[in-house]
Amino acid sequence: MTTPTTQTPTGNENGAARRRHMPQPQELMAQPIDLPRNSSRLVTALSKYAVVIVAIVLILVFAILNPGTFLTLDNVKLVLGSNSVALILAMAGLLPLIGGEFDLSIGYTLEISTVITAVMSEAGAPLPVTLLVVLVVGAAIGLLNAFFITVLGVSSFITTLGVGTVVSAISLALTQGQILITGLPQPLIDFAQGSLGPLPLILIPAAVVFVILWIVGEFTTYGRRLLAVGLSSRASLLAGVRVSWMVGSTFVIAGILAAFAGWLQLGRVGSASAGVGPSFLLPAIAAAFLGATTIKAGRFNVLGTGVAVLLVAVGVNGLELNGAAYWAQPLFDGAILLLAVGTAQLLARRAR
Amino acid sequence: MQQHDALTATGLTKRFGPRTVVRGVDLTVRAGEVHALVGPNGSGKSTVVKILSGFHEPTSVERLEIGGRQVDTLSSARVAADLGVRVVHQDLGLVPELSILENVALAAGYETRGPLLSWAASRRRCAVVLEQVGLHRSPDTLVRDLAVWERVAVAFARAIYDGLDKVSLLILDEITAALPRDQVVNVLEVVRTVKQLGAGVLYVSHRFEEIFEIADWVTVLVDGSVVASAPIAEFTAPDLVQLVAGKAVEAAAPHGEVPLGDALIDVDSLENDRLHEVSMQVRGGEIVAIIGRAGCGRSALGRVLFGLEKASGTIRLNGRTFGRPSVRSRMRAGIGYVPQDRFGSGILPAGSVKENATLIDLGSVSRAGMLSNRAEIEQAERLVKEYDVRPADIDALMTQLSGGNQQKVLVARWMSRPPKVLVLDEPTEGVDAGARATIYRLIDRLRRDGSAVLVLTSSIEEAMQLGDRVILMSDGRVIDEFSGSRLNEHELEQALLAGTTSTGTAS
Repeated sequence: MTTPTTQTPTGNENGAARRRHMPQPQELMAQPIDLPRNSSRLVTALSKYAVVIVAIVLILVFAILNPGTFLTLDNVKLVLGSNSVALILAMAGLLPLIGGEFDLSIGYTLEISTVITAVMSEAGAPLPVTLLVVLVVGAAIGLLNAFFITVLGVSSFITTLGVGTVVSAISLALTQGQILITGLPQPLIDFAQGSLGPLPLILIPAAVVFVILWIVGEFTTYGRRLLAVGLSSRASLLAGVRVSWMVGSTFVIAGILAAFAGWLQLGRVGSASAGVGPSFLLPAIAAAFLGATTIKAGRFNVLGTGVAVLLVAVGVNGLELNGAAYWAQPLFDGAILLLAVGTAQLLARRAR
Repeated sequence: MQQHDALTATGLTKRFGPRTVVRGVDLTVRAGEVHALVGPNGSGKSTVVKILSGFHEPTSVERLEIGGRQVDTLSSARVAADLGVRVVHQDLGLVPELSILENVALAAGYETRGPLLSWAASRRRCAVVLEQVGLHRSPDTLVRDLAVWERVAVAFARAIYDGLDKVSLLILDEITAALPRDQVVNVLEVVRTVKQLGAGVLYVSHRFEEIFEIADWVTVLVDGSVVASAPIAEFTAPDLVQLVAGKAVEAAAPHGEVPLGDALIDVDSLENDRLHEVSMQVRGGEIVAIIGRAGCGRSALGRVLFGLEKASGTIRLNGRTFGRPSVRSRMRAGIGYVPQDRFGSGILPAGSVKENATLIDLGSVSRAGMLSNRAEIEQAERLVKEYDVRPADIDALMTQLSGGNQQKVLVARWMSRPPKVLVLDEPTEGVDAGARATIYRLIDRLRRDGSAVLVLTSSIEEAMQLGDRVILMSDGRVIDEFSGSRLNEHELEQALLAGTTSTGTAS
């Protein structure tokens, strides 16, 4: 005989009509950690700050293992510089997730943005024009996503996968399968690879994006309404929130941010090619999910996502310093996501 | 096993940190008895149920026997199930797209022949169990095609599928709370059947009418302690209300004491697939109850008024006509709405009390799009304090609140900027007497401030208590109106019966 089905306090109690039967971010995420008061403070703090603690432990471990290399100025600069693009892209992925939707097209948007910038620069377009164009393209991709999702009611999972794949085809057509390295804009390369004292210059736009999103997420009515939509779009609608508008806007912003990240990425690596999108997508989405287990556990949040990006960056860098191969990055991305999300879920369950 | 008591618990105690939720509760459920467990929201009923079904371990217990077996600890739901504890929740846990058989088998498994499963044998066995609970349906019927009460019966069938001899204690946790009231009688019939088969039933409910109808014994829990436990014959309804609600119950304001204003909202021949020629006027300072059975169109009317559904005809508010349906424009014009589906459409379940309290009027706690933390906390705390939301913690998640307290938040949040017209759909469904009194007080206060209030309800009691006027709907039409001397329980009941005999229900 069965175990009777008791709902956990956070369970979805009624079969509230879901618009679609595709995975929704909230379902795939660790349940909000709703610790009863009998759990010890330690457990509470551990589960809330697990990601932060792991990041600190990693830094300490690698600092001890690599006394001469890890905590050097050059290495810190390298870690921050090479993850600024990842941070911006994670912010792009985060925003739709807060509203309860996936954007799987951001990796491809980043990709086409590097490609367009390279192609236009080779043809002699001035740098500001390339920036303007890619931002418009990013917004257009976001609008297309928004149209399918909010007007036609297609699942965001499917929509963004489809739109992203089409975008990747355009990237391929533009590069004709080549790696573009000629005629790239030198000022962009100088900026993206340069530094101001101890800080890499590219960290500046990333930090600006991060701070703006943090403010938007925490202190604005827009952020609050978006959060509400992510928690229950039906209840938000009945509370007077323009749900479609909110959801649509997140895709447009995500497109713009991803395009901006791609533009910077061209300067960072000094080349553009089609096919790099997917390798950017997973870490960004993973960081958002990992971030949802910390700071504001159970919710997608900007600070948590920032910490998650940092954790992955430190981990990969440390492994590489210890001679790990080129596959260290994806291994670490995947493993750390499973570990952290699993731990958070376990703690939450034990505490019930 | 039937010679034993289904459940004997003494000194059952549960603490969550510093908070004692259940204190030294003694509870005995005899086999073949329906034992009602009642109490206000937050009295510890759910915790008792969760302990007995193995989801919480008790902090301490002197003696615990289930089906005559001494139990040291109920460490998991599996252990509880092995001891013969079966739980049916308000949320029945059925999959609508699957058949009755498949739903039952989800839990109990199929009959097998060798390595293969035998559909014929499974179907036969399922049919036998359905017969036991008095549900005359083919096991192949899809659950979504069943009336709500029939689904409850399926959940019962699933609970007793292993044979009633294996069931020592059947816990029914608010199973009628989400049920249209006219189907409650069917469910009670099923409960009676199961009881006659010899099961001990622990029946948790807010609805006193059905307790008097079904229960043999009543235990009243307040603040985690048993305040009364006796055969049902020793209680009268007012006693029970008094015990459960304590001093919280105050009668709603006497009708007619507030001077009525002009017609605030004027609805003229609304027509869509669920409404036919619905016209009515509600004046400022007036509470109109719209009553009718499930499917009579009252909820559709509410949705149309709030711009959630289309209908032809006109809606005028203060003389102004509305265009296309849009929630935002209705809200701006001064219409408020509290939906029936509290969990699915009302609250942000994983949101805090504060976030839920301020969502409909974020403008008042922000400037130029920037939230003012202080203003927001102030507004939420005022709401929690003024309307007695428990726990009085604006950072508590909504899911940590009982249904009654969630509803208080949903109604009270309109008070920060009172709407001209407030539409409430089944505002006190699944809500205890104390919370109901608070909600009635809120409604009364709105009316005193000159708002028009529409209460959509299936309860005669509620319509009588709140309505200055009661409008009866059936089949999407307004068929009668009661006010003055005609506004009495007897007439309403007659009309309600008469008005629906022609339409019937899903059963």
